[in-house]
Amino acid sequence: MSFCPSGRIANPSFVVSSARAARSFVFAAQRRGLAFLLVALLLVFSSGCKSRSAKNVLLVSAAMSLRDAFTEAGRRFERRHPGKRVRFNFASSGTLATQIIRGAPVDVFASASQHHMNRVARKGLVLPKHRHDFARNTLVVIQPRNHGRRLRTVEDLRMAGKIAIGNPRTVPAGRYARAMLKHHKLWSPLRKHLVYGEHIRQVLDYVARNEVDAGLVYGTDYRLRKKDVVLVASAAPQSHPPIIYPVSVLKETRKRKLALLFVQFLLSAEGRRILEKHGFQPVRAAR
Amino acid sequence: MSTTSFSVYLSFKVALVATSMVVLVGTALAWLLARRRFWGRTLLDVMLTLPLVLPPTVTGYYLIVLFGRNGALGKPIYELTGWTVMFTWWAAVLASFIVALPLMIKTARAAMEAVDKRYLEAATMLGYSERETTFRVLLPLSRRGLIAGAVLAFARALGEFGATLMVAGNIPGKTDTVPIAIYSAAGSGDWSQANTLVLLFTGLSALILYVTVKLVGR
Repeated sequence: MSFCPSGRIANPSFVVSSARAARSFVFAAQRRGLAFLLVALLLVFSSGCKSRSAKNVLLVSAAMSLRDAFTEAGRRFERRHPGKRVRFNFASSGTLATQIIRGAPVDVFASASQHHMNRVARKGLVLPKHRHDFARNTLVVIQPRNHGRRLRTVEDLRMAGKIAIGNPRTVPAGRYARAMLKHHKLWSPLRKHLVYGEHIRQVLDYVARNEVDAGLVYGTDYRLRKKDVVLVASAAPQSHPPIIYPVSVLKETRKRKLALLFVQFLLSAEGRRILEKHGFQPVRAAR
Repeated sequence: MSTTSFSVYLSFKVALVATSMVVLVGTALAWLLARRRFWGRTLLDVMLTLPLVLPPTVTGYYLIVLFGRNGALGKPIYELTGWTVMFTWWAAVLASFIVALPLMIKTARAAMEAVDKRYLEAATMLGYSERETTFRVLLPLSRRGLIAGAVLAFARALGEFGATLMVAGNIPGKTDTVPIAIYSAAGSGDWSQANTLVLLFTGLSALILYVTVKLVGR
């Protein structure tokens, strides 16, 4: 919405006095209905102005698997930088990348795979100088805790009636899962048994709710619902591309300094501590 | 069958099955609400109207609670038969049925209540049983409203997305109706597939509406 010229014009007292002026003019012209509409429109459109011009709010689009870690990181960041706020937009990395490509006003993008970050980079929307790998993850096979038939190895997936994975098109975990299944020559035979989740937490939920017989999620997600799911096996690292999360400041951001501060916070000792606390693994070599 | 044509085929299959069920059940319930007074009548009316005003995600939530594999109804069904409705195309039918039903009931009931009571009384006086009155007088006279209700229900069933996604899931080749396929294509940046689906769907729906409008003669 480009109705907000600047912070000054949108401040409340000006809105009220201009609304009053508009109203008395129109009463004089005896068009009450239109007056009401004008006042309403003015108030509606200016109510968005205050937050939009705030230089102190950062919008971070982050993969769903980062939700808990980043929520905590955001809080710590806000405490370290009083007056600054971080707002998060959590969804599958593919969905987030599409939003950014279509013009969403995002300042920082953290993806669960290089693929979706590369999609954004190919459109020239990433600042390569400020793109860093900041975390790693593992892929695991889980089952509902109260499921009748217990699987013990990856091969046992052949016995599963329904297996939940992320949608390979938009959920990185789904892509990693597909690679892992292909590595074990299970992709073709199991394809008809797959149920796609729209993001990783949905896959986790399907398993926790016993809607499926097994699921493939990240190690970090498995930890969250240990009450409802059991670990069957961890995918061997060589069975899928390495799970490395990149983060980047985006070219179109209007708060580059603040965005940089946040990325630096993620890469700092405290940031790494928070990520490790939530089960993520450190990136070995700096990019 | 390509994924696009499968989605269109699936959407129409689901909508046709759901609408058939809606017409049968909806007409019966509309008749009940229009022609009978009983304790709890208003409550029933409210409950049947709820899916109309509730967001589809709330409806989907209730469906999961009831029919999920661990759900109040889903669990006993699974234990008895080893079958669950979740992640099958029947779940899409169920979701479409629930959200389209209120449309049929409201329209059919209004049509029935608009029928001049004197015709019904005359039929009774001339010896028709309740059943004959209903099928030979009431329903034919409510014909326009019943068809309108069916068309509305079909349109709603075709377009159902939120609750369907929650109970049927997004399983390409199995439960990806057109709204779900569009969502998936758009979300992964595949705009050409999204375009194809949207255009195909809009065209077919417009065609159906055109034919229906011509048939009803309005």
